[in-house]
Amino acid sequence: MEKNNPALIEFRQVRKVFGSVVANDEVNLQIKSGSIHAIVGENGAGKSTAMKLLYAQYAKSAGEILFRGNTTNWKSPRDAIHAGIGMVHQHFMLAETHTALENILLESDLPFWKPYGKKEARARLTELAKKYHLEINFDALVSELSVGEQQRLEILKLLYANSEVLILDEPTAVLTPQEIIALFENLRRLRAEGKTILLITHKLKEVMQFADCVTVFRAGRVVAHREVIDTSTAELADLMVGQKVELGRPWPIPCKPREAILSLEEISYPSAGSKLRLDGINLQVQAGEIVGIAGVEGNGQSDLIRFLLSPKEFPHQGTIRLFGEPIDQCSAPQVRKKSVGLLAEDRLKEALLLNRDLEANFLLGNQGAVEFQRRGILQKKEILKTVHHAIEEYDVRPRKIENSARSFSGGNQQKFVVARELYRKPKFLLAAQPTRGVDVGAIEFIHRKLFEARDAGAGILLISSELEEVLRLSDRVLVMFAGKIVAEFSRATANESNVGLAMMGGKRANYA
Amino acid sequence: MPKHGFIYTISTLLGLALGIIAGLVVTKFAGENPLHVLQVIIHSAFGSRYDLGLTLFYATPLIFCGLSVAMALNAGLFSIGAEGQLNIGALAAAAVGACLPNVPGILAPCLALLAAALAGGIWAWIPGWLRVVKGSHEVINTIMMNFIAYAFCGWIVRVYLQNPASQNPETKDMGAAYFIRAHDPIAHFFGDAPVSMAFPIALLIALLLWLFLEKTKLGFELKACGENEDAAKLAGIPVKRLRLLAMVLAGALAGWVALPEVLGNVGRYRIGFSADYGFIGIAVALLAQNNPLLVVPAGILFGALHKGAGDLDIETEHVTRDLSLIIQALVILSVSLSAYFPLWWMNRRKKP
Repeated sequence: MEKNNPALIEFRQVRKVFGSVVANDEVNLQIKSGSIHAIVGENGAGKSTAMKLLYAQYAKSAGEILFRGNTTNWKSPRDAIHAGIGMVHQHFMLAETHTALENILLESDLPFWKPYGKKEARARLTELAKKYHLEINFDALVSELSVGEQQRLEILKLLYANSEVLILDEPTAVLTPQEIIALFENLRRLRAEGKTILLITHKLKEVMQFADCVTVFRAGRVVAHREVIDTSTAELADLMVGQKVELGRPWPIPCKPREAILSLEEISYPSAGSKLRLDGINLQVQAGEIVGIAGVEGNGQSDLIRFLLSPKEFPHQGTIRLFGEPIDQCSAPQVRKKSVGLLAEDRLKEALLLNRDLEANFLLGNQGAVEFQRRGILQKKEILKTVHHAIEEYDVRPRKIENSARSFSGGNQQKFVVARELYRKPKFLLAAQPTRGVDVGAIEFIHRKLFEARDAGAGILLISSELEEVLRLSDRVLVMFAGKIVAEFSRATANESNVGLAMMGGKRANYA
Repeated sequence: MPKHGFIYTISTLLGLALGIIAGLVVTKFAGENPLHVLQVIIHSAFGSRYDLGLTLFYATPLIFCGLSVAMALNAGLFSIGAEGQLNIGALAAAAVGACLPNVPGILAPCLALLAAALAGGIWAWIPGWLRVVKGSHEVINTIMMNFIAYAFCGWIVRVYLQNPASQNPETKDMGAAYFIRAHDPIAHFFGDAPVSMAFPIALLIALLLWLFLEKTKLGFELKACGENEDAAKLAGIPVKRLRLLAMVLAGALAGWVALPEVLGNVGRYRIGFSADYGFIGIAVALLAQNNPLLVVPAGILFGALHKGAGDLDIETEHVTRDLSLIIQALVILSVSLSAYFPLWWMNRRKKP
């Protein structure tokens, strides 16, 4: 490293455009060696893009990026990895049907005629894992590893490739509070070994607790750089949004439960193996309340969502009722014909037609509404008027109905989906991960809309892996573990530690 | 990206031109003058009313098949089955004409067309049903249904409907009322080329199909199935039912090749009458990007290539009519590649 240049990584006037969209502009940034450096910003603020430019996953449109004082000219992530920069993506890049060890070997650069050297690799990995407390079972299939373990595997992959710089994109989005603490302990250990960690996140609490310095992105530009000791959560939030925001404003309105909207009685259905995916689920959602389901991902929440939407497809025991009627033999179209709104778990795969414009996307699910069609002919004018109002009310940016859904940022896509699903004032709303990958401003907005829907009398079932979100929104909190509901809390009794503990199956988490 | 529609149009046209140029350049290596070859093709395809009539005659079944493939693709199904469906449809029309020769007036062709649509539709329903209910892939099943269709048609013709006056495997003559050419002003205008009312009807159907897909609720739902099956299902759209519908419509459209070929031209079903219309229809649909309106020019282009290349055997020394296949292939390749051009164009600005 050149001694006269204290920054390990430096962005100079970096710009990135996608088509007509400017994702990054005039980005100047310096990252010190051996620090945990947080990159924060709303969704679509350009923080991930900037990091992907560094990782050479995207080619920059202008400007330069310096690494160890030299201009980089990397053509692909492969070059970046060789230089010592690694990235853990928000969605892990693992081959699920291979073992942990095989996944690490996949990255190897050996020419094809050379043997893998599994033995040496295993020895080196074991040593690395021990040194950084990242122990995992190398012979387990990735699909058998928990999310936390998969993340450790991703980090090990980087260390195995001798990465000096680790970029982590929203690493805590899928972890329990206990796992988050373990992750940051590991990151601190890595820092102590001289590694540099770039942390893309929107959770300001974590930044304040664990990072050394923080860079704030807004609208594609760097708007501030702070040492963590000199700033506060409130200041960072204001910087991100560009105006004053109220964080975590409580919603004190007590709910008065009315008739049952949804009820599940002793619902069980088996998976291919012997384990039950849903195991004796009893739950009820009443009009005017939000019932939250907390749990580490993969404990049956996704199965529950799929089951609720199409009970017929899953031969099951027990009874499910919606608005008082049994719907055990209903398929998805039949369920959706009732007054049901859905914020799907994976909005890209399940909620949007990515290549179509907002008009078509708004129509999706609302196409049968009387005002949108007359004898099967679509009423374009009426639809456009409604979409125009909706994106205005829900502040979907940019206000361009003709743009494809794909071109909007995650936060704006989600606000749009919320607008669409609440448009017909459903009596039951299934909100699965309603704010995943969404920025602070939009989270606040979406939460407010959910509360408004509740106060208007809708029954809402919230399924979220963000414990904070569950605690904030839910009038009752249920905890799912291994396909069962293992605990129930009222708004008054639920807190991070008792719910977090129940999420781990009631036992103390065992961190290697 | 509707905003960049203009760039997409330009790049598709450029891709088209590039494919044709590349196809002509090939003839240079065969020792021909590419300009001469082009001249021969254009003259042969559009040189006279009669030539133009023949071009449109070839284009008509391609348009029907292109619409058939586009219909299925819009619902997310890749049907390779138009060839089998059109054979079944044409046989059904010819069989109705041969077995009920005394049906009067306009009723006759209508009846034959109904039979063609039904037969093609049922033929497509089988792989459609296998896909949506059993989950077996439509590409495989439609291909297999083609072979079954060949064999089935051969059997029916040879055993039940063989024309006693002919050495060729073909059906008996239809009743006179079925033969739409008899009272067709279009054929006359094109110097008695085999083109018929079938061509404007194909245009009309393309328009209707476009209106259906773009302007109706059902069309919207059908396209949603093709774009994102999961999202469509969760939005309450009965994906399976609509896909089955799309498949049946696709089969009916392919079946209507009976209109230009049986009712409009020979008046009989001949084994092997189709010059791979069903397969070229796939190329037509791809070139038209599944847009029913664009299927028309794409069909005409391929019809023109087919007709135009026909004269190469006589007019040139070294190339034969097979050049049309080379040009078709190169056009498809270069138009597919041209889809990348707009992406490059939009990212080209402000390179350091």
